[in-house]
Amino acid sequence: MNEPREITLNGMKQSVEGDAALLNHLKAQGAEPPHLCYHESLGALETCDACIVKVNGEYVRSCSTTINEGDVVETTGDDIHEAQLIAMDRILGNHELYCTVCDFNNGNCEIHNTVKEMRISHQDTPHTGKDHAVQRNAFYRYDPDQCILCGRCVEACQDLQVNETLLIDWTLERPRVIWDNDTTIDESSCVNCGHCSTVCPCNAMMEVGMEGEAGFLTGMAEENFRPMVDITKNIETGYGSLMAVSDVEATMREERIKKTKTVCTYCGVGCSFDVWTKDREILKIEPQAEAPANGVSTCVKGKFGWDFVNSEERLTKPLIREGNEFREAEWEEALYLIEKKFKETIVEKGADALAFISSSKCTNEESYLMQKLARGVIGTNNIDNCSRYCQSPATMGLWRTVGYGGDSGGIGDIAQAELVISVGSNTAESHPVLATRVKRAQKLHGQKVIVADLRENELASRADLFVRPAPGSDLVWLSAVTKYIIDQGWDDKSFLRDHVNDVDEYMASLDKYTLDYAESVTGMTKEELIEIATSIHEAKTTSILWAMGITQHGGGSDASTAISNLLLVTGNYMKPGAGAYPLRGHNNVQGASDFGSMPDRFPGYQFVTDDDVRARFEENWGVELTTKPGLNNHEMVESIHNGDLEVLYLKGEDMGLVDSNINHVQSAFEKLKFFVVQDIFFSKTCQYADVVLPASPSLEKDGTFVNTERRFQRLYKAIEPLGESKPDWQIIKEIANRMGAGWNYEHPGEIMDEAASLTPLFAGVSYDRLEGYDSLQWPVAEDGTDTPLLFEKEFPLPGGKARLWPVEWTKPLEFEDQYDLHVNNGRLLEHFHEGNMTYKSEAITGKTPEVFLEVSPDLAKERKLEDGTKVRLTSPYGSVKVSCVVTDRVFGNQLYLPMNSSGEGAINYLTSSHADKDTDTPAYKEVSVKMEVLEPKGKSPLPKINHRYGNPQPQIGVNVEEKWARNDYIFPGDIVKERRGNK
Amino acid sequence: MAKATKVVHKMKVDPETKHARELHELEQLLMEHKEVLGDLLSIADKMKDREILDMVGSSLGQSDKVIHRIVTALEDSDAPQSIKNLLLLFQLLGTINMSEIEPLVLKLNTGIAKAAEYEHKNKPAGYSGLLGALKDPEVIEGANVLLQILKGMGTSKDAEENVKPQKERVQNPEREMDEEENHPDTKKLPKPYGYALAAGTGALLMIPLVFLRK
Repeated sequence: MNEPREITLNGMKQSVEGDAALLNHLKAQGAEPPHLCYHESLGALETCDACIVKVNGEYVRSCSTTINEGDVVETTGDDIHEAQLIAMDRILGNHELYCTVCDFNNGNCEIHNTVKEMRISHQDTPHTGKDHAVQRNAFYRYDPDQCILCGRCVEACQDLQVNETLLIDWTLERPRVIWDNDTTIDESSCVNCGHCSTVCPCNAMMEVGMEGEAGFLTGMAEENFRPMVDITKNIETGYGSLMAVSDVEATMREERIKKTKTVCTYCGVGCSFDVWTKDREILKIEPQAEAPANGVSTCVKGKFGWDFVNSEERLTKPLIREGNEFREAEWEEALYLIEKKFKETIVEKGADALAFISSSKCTNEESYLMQKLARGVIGTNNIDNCSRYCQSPATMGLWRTVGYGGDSGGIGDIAQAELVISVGSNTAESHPVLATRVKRAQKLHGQKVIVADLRENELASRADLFVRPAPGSDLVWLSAVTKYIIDQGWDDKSFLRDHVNDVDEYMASLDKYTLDYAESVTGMTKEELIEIATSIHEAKTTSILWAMGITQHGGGSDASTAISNLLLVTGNYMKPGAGAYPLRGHNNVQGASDFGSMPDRFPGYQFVTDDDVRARFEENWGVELTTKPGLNNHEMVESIHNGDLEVLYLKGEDMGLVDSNINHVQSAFEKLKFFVVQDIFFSKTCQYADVVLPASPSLEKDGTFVNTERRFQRLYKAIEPLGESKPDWQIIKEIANRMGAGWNYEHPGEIMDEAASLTPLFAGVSYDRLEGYDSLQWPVAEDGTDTPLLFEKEFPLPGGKARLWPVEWTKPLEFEDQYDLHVNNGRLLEHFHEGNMTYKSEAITGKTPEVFLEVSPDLAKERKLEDGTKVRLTSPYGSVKVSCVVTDRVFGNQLYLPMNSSGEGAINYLTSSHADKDTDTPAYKEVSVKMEVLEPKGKSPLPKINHRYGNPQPQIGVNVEEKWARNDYIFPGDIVKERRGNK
Repeated sequence: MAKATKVVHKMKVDPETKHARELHELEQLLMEHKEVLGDLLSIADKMKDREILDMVGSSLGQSDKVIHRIVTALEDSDAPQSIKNLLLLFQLLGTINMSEIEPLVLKLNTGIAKAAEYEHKNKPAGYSGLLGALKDPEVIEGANVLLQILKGMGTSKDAEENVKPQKERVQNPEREMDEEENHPDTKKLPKPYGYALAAGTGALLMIPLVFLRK
């Protein structure tokens, strides 16, 4: 297909290489025909007919035509133009041009631009309505009378997001877009991911944030709108003048609507997009096809979850504790108090009596400054970040086996894998955009998907094979599958020979992991185990995704190691489409560790005990650094209880809620002599502070994040900090300078330059190389060469070889018999963690107002539970009160309690201090409880307008064949042919 | 020992201090823009004198209602037609080539002057006189100019017309496509050409009669 083909384009002979799509070739040749349904992220939809050209004398849609040897292509000529005009005329019969009073008139309306380019001045088919009301919910709205039925929204919903909610009902007299079985948006399965409004070429599917806000004339009272449109249409003397006026108005809009590229501040996928702001008001999120991780995709949080930025609950002034109360204070007073307490403690107790916790929500530059403050100014290595709560075991497993603690490739590799295995990951809810790539690859390209989970999450319900191993038993089945593969002789012997050490030692360690043993421990059948092994053997590339279901166990690092061992044995490293993908949970959980907020490592994972490394930092920072590794989060809590640690400075983490066994953590906070908390909201943790400092969220500052693909991306300041809040890097700088540091950073770019100069792992990273949507995946060489595929020639371990690492299974915590129910826990799609950001969105909260407990139909029957039954769950460590939802997503005596609550349903009142033996990551997933019914009947915590009650309607794409089969449809090319033939 | 607390006392700002600070800020602002403010205030004074400020204030205060009245009134009146005509006039002015039209205007002026000088002498001119006049080089030149004008008028220029609002066009469904077919590139002589030529010649012959009436 990629061989050069000789064609004739408009009489000129030329050779075509590579892409065989005619429309793309015409674009490249500057002979682009008009088109409205084609979208580079969606491909050919064939609904608009505007891109008709002639190939070998026949009229064809150029979007869906592939180039063949010897083709004669014509794009000009009256007949072709006539066919294109017929198509455009039909489109304009569906869409009223009232551009100047349209909120979508921002220079990017594709209908407007096409009408202008084609110099269409009039239309034959009068615009008529579709006799159906506007559909709307709190996120977006659909105006059928403006809809041109291009089907982009349907394609995006069906095949890109793969939520399968939208269809065009071609059987209606006037076809239009429908939700599920033609219900309302809110009662449908729509997850409000925003794909439809993003790809819509006009104002038919539009974010409600734009309504009446974008234009100078669009905010008029509803009763004035129609007369205004009619007057405009009466006045206009052909579309030319209308276009000119609306173009002027669109240009005026550019003065007051600011479009700023930013990076999402929720999960670790790293979606980037433009945010449109008018003063402080956020009009919409506009994803761009060029965004490296997500393209035009978003989830509901990234697209619509930004109300928190302007929330009245934002902290806008420093707070200082007086007794059991806080009072607002000026920055000067708060900073003076911090300086005084820090200095006193250093003098009296030494630097190690202070500790610092950085945030996975903050930027790389802020993480860098926090560890520099701890190490270089205060003099302690007591610095950690919240990846301790989630990802450290995955990183450990990869360090042991392949040397780098990061994803083996990018999201594109996951999409192109022949086999994807998801273990202990609620991907579709926790990393929604990444999950769309798997769902799409499975639906359209035959990717095989295997899911191992306790709960039938969305990906599990779509999987080719869904297995439910017993809680905490994954290491056993992973090792058994590995052993079976070796026993069958399916191991990749040449890969092991050339690229892996310690093979024999590892092979010997597998003896006990027989299928029988695995069956008895995991509850999986031998057939399931063999099917998994066979699938891996048959697939050319396997990618394994995992998350907290693996890491948050007593043996989390070992289970992560077992995954990497399996990949090594089967040669699933060092090639596109294969490898290990620990899915990072927060926007910058990767970067927080990359930039040295770790007790034993400088930025770039350089050990503090390495004399050469330390000397480099000492020289640059002009200080002497301590060699002793510091405390991690978990150890800090114990150290406070022991009385050794007296001062804690924590930013951007609600540790008093998200750490496990929070009763224990909160009592530690009470013992601190001095506690500084920096946040954008008055969190649970703030309640224990002595000084609270108001920080700025991502939209109010410049910086960079690193996503789960190891990808550096820049975010730009879109709006000014609210009130007296400040970006974290500025606050840290001010504190450091009060401690005598003498820092003079004026912009985060300078901080990045310094960090890169000290860190071989990302030596070539600079703001210039990250301009706009440009990105870099570490390692980044000094010349700017980055590494999309992490392992290409060798592994960063002795001899350039990976190593197989024998592991033993750690049995999960055992509970007394009275604790007879296992509590699984994790995320929901629409809320993020404790919900301090997403609950600020009225629209999101309207759909999912509170946390709920998922119980199985079996358990519901046994305990007489129903939707709305309020129960108390009690573990040996605490209790929660929460209302039930009965669902077949969970099985038997397993419960699912989402972590999205800061109230009496917060999961960490139940969890223990038991942790991964290698990294101290809390074993959040090892919880058993007993249940008491408090109120048998109550209101369901999940309103009926939640998408979980919807009824998706899967189909491939927009089903254009149904349109073509309609009696009123004739291909424009045929009309022209007939007209010409009759002459 | 810091017990958890949610009690936060907002900072009480001394009203006098706040007032003084704001006053100071305002003072600085005024000083920075002294000249502009002077000019603005002088304009505002004049607007006040003519009650323009009151009108603007009232209109803004009731803007939605005012706009509603305007748009509904506009919709039912001839105003859209006037605005449309105005826009068309602007467009037409843009199409006129003044350098070409100047000699024509001069010729027309001369014609008018001659017509004004002409004195009706109460006696029929007679065909012989008229035929004799056709020998006059000035008459021949004038007739040639008029002939060229008529010839130009006969050429189809439908494609360049702007006076075709959407509403009128939709009542003529086939016209858009016809227009495309009549693209100048088609090299087909437009049908009206012959008729226009004949009509033009007829009209030319009528001209002397127009001048001779009364």
